[in-house]
Amino acid sequence: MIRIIINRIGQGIVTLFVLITLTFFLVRAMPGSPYTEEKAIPAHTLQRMKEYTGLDKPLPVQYFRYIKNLIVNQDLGDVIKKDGVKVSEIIAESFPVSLGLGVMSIGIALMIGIPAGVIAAVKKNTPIDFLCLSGAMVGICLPSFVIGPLLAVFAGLGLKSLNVAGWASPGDWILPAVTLGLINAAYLARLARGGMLDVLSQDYIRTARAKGAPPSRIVIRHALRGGLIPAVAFIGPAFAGMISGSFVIETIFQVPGMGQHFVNAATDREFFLIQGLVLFYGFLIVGANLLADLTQIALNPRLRKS
Amino acid sequence: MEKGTSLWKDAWHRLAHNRAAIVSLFVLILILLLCFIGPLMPFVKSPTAINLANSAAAPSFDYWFGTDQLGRDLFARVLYGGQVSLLVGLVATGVAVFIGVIYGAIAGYAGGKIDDLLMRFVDILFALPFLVLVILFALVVDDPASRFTDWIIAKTGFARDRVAPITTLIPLFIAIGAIGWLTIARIVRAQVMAVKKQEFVEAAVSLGLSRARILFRHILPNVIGPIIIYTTLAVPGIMLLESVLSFLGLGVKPPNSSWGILIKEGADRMEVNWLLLFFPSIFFASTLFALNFLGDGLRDALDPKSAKD
Amino acid sequence: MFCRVIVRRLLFIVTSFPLLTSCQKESQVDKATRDGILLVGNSGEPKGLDPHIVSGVLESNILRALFEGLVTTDSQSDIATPGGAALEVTPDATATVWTAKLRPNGKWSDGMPVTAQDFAFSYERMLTPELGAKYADMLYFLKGAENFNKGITKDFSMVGVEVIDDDTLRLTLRGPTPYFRQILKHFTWTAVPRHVVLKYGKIGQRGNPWTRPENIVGNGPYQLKSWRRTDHIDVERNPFYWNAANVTLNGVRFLPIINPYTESRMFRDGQLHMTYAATSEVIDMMKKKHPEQLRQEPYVGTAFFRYNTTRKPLSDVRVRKALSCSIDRDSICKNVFRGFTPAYAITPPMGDYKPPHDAGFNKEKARQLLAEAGYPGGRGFPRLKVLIASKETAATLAQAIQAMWRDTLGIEVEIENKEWNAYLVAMQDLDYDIANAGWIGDFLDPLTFLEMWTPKNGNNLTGWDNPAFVKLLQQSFQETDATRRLELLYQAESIFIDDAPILCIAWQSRNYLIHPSVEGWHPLLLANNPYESIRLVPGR
Repeated sequence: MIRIIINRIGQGIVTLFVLITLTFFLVRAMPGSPYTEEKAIPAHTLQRMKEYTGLDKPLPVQYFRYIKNLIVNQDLGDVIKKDGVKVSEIIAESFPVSLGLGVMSIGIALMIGIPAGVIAAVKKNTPIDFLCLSGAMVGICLPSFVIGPLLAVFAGLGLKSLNVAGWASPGDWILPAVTLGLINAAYLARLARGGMLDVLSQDYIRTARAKGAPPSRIVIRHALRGGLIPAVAFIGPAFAGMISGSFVIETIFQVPGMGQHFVNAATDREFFLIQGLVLFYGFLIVGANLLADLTQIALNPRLRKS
Repeated sequence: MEKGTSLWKDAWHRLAHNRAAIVSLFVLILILLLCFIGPLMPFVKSPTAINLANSAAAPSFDYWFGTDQLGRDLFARVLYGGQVSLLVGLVATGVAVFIGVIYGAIAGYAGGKIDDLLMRFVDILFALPFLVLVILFALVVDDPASRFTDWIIAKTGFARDRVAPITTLIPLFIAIGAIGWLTIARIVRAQVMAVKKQEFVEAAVSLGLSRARILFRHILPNVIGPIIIYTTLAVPGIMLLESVLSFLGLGVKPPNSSWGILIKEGADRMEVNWLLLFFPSIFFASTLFALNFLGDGLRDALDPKSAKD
Repeated sequence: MFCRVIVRRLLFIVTSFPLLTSCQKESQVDKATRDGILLVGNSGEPKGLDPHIVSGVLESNILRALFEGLVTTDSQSDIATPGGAALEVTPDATATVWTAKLRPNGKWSDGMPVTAQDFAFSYERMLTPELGAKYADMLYFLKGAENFNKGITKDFSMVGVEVIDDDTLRLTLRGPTPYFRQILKHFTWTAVPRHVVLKYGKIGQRGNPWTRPENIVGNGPYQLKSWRRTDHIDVERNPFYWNAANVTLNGVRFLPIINPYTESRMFRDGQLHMTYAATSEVIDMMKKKHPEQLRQEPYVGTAFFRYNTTRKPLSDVRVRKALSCSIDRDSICKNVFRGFTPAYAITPPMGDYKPPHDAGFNKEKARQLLAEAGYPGGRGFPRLKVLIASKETAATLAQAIQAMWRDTLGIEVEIENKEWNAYLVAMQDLDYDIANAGWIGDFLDPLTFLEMWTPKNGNNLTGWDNPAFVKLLQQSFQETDATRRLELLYQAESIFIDDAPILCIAWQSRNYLIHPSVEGWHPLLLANNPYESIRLVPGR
């Protein structure tokens, strides 16, 4: 048992190591550098700046310095363009916001998507099926940078109580969360429908029907648990996608989250920030997978042997 | 006696009865024809001809969808933009599927240590943030792609207008393909492993056929089902990705146009001229809707379990 | 039955959302007006607040509130009034040695007095090579500064900065500089608190944490209250400011809004007093509905295209002039930009300086020049590439230019749209034919637009080298009389536009939205309005 845990942790560390290495070299293959600016930096100043961050050294040296710094000092490096700001600070400040936004939108997505998908499955191939699915699918068929401004203009400008952007007042999370939620609701609805359909065609459901159980009971008591598995499995990747991919929402609604840093770091050529963010994200994914694995092992004795 | 039928015939039969899926199929064919054959029609104007005197005109007999703020015909822009969006969606997904199928098939068929190693690599890559990696890849490949464009023009002498809109998409194809093959690889591997155990494969092995032949001639055709379903359902996501990249200024760039760019510009001008948002959005949303319903229909049709009803 | 239950539950949650949020009767702007806080859109997150490290316009907007230089801007005009940390700044007869008498009651926000030593320390710090200050060349007006900054001399006493006593500073410049008061308005010439900077690090140390919210100290009308990255920056009254009694605005909140559409939505939703910019759609809309909330003011910036004079056929001045004469700048300013003025030189009119005129829009002349250069009717002219970056109006501008060249000269150009960083690299490597570009002036003197075209300057990027031009600039460095000096610069610019290494398109205007409750915000070329004299009037 302990051996399995150590094994999994070891795999996680190897994963992170490969991630760091991949990102390190990919990032330095990009054209341009963090020092490319509109008003050219004089050569002697550029040299000083490179010395400060160590970017004047050959690649292998930079690489080993980075790894060493990471392991020995737990230091993810500096943000090159912002004097004195550390990568870890950026992550520490923005992650809680993204986390909060992510939780809210998943909540909204579940509230919209699961019922829509379940109803569609129960009423398969009727107009209700089509309607529910179409309604839920708005999120898949229009990009977030359309849904967002539409909501902002109609709900934000229309309703006095809702701000059109920002992250200060209590209701500010609503519009961004609804926008993100609508998008994920669509996927959840389809997965819920598909999963429910699979389950509803099973023999034991037929048995329950034959026994005369009321339809609502069949669905809620018997079918839901199994039918929602694919939808629930999607929550993890959806959440991960929101953390790293919420750039558009953050831009439209002025949310100080982490998504914008992912994109801006790439366009700004912030080597250490990109590496730090990828590492952090990878850490979350690996950690989550590890937890899921360990929970499964704990719940299912058969997995403990190998 | 019942007429003999094969898996494919059954599937087609089921699909034909799925009204949503059939309608979707027709819609898709219509859009494809419009976007790829339409521009060849003489009455379709140029999407790039700037005519500042006629800016933001309402729809009329001359300009079916009206004009944008520079006086360009919106109908033509939607059609040409569709070419790009559909091309990116299909080709980029195609690249990803191609890589994924080969990778997954090899892993699934080889099994054992090779499978372990290959899938371990996939697990690692899954821990990378998708959007960021696509951006990084696109940036890295951008320069070589423009050099490639210059080379092609020099070698073949084709006009730049014909070549450039396609070759500037190459970074997108590579970036999306290089990151997007992971899921299909897993799916194909799982399918190959399931099929591998079946008896007709054992028969092929005992006949002494080469492994490659078994893999490509016997196993893969039985895996095609999930591949088709996945592809149909992946294209909408890729098209959405292209629109987000264009929003960021990293995908298709003006003066080239795509539905993503048209929609973005439309959203910006939403309160001044909502038609600029409406028309491209209808096309974009319809395509994605149709692909989704078609994919669902294919899944229902090809899945033996749902045959029970 | 089952569906109805679910639908009912959903409806309940959805309709209670608006009630859950606090029913704000008062908009954010109205509340802020009551509190005397100005809410400003500031286009992006600042890279820092150290006047010696940063170099951007959005950073300078914040620095103005926190630090005060020897000379400040008058709130109503572009004249440099020696209000500010100095009582007066007086030149000698040759305008080469300037003496600044500091205000005796000037204080830092921690109560310590502002002294001449602070200023001397600041200039030394910015010029210290180890610090790697990008904008150190703003201080090269000082004698010996360039050599010190490049590490050629190691002794700061070789630089023309002299502390006479606690309140008197003598600056010896590299040459006659009658316009020096304009230079002193720039944030690179403000002082940083010596005692605070040295408390947290050495003089030339990068990454010095003295600008963190808990450490930072300044001598401006405001002090830093809070800094939540990518969210907002708050500044509040500095009680130790020498003129605190006359500061009418209680504080400023800077919002780093990158997307201009989000910004205008926020303005319309009553979340901002002022925006940083306004998109053309918003401008058109505001002109119709609320013209008094829209401002379009001349700004010290120019939009132009660079020609790569090292490549054929652009190395031929006739080709360049032919290309330039084919462009109808009026049409571009009307249709592509909003509020910009057609530019017939690179330096916009400023103060007493009126720039020379280039040949303007002249189709016949353009065709004639192109024929003379060997490409009559555009025949045989190679397909050049116009390099642009993925920014707002760049593609539209490039397409307009492309159409004009096709119409007038019969030549085809292609548009090459690169990502921002790649675009900069291509321009800096001279790997382009024609490139879209812009330049914003640092101070109100033509030199800020002309000095970059000398051959060794890192912002030239055209390969253009004209000894006569350089000679005139150097003569201007020795000229003590202000009027005569402007004449020399006029002649230099005439040579410049005659040789046409660039295609001048338009002089920029700043388009922004402003709430009616803001009083005292006047049009300034550098848009460096002081905040302290702003009044917020409620009820508008």
